[in-house]
Amino acid sequence: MTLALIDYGAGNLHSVANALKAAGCTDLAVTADPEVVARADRIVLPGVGAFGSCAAALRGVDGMIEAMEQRVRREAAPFLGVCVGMQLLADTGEELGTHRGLGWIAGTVRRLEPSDSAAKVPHMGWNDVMPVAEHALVRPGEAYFLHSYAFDGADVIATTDHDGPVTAAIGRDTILGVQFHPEKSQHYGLAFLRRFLDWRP
Amino acid sequence: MTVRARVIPCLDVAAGRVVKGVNFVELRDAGDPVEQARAYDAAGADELCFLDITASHEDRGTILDVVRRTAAVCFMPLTVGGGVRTADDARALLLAGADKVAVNSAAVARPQVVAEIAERFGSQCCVASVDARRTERGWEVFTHGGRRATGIDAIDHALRLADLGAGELLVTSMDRDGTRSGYDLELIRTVADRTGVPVVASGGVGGLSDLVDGIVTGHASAVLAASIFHFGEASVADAHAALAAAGVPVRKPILD
Repeated sequence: MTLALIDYGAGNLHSVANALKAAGCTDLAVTADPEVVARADRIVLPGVGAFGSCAAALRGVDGMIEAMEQRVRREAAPFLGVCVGMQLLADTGEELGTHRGLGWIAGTVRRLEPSDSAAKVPHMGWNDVMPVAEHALVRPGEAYFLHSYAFDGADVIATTDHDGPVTAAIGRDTILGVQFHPEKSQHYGLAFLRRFLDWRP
Repeated sequence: MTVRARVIPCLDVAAGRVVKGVNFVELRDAGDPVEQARAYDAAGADELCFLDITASHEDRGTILDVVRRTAAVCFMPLTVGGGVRTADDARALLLAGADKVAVNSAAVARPQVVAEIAERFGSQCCVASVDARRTERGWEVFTHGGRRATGIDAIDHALRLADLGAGELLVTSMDRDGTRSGYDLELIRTVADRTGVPVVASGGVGGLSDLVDGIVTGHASAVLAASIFHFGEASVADAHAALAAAGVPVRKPILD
């Protein structure tokens, strides 16, 4: 059971790799090779920083998006996007200009603009994951968030509250994306990753 | 609920060893920052901060090894500060496993370094750390552990660094640091009320009520403390309980 963790220069790559191993992943391939992704049983896309530079970095890996499309969308391999890796599922991101995402889940990633000045941006710290739709992997609990932009669109599975609802998880079919950082969410995060490793959607 | 107030223990690390750290009796090697980090992870700390106070330039690489080893076993957010001069310094720490990097003196000498880090790696990982002392007119930025005056207004400096892209402001009162007489709440609140980014209160914690004051009166989003945790006077759970009793939202970590 190979899990391909896509290496496209994302800052949280090693933290996600460490957490996946701690969650019990025994066959982890940290890879920039589309061939490995095309054969993987599961795929994880990490990501921190700006939407546009992450999208450009992912497109910069020759053949990677095609391999992801093939393996996830046509062959239904389980996929997890984390933080900006989740945001990239959207059609567009509006961070430092307008950038095209993967377009796997209809939506736009926009800046958080709480009207209450006590709600700070970045949204930084532990907050609730509150499921709004049934999903085998996403359970209520407290997870660590660290972001200034959030997904607004279809297929929302869970929200959190930061002066109003903010998307915490999105998903459809074998695709799941989480805004929070499971790799930084201690027990809650590791338990979530264990469920992903066991997921047979 | 809403985003929780964060309780952040801070460890001073020099040449890869904890200088000021916790007296957890069960630790095999209390001087090992990784062991201490594990203990705080198990105790439910909301984040952890390493402050690298290594004096000699040659030993600076050791913090990267400490961060790497910590990130392999701790699944909590980690901020690392001390000696970060350039965006490349920040990059090395982030790749080693730090989630946030704090810039202090380098941002006094050249505030633009904050913009460079934020542009390359995102505001979310760029913490601007400001050490301030009271003056007759307000507060002034000090460097070199509070010994060297700069003539720079601390509030203006902090706000400017947030404008340049810092995603968090770590504000330390050098008047209070080590005194255990509580945060400089007026300093913390003055910054917190004038910025849109989270503020971490630092310097002077002597008891749990100081943590509560930092959030409730200082309007900070997070409270940093060293000695009350290190000397075993209070646990992270005690801090969470004190904050909760004051009506501050805190998380209920699942502990080992």
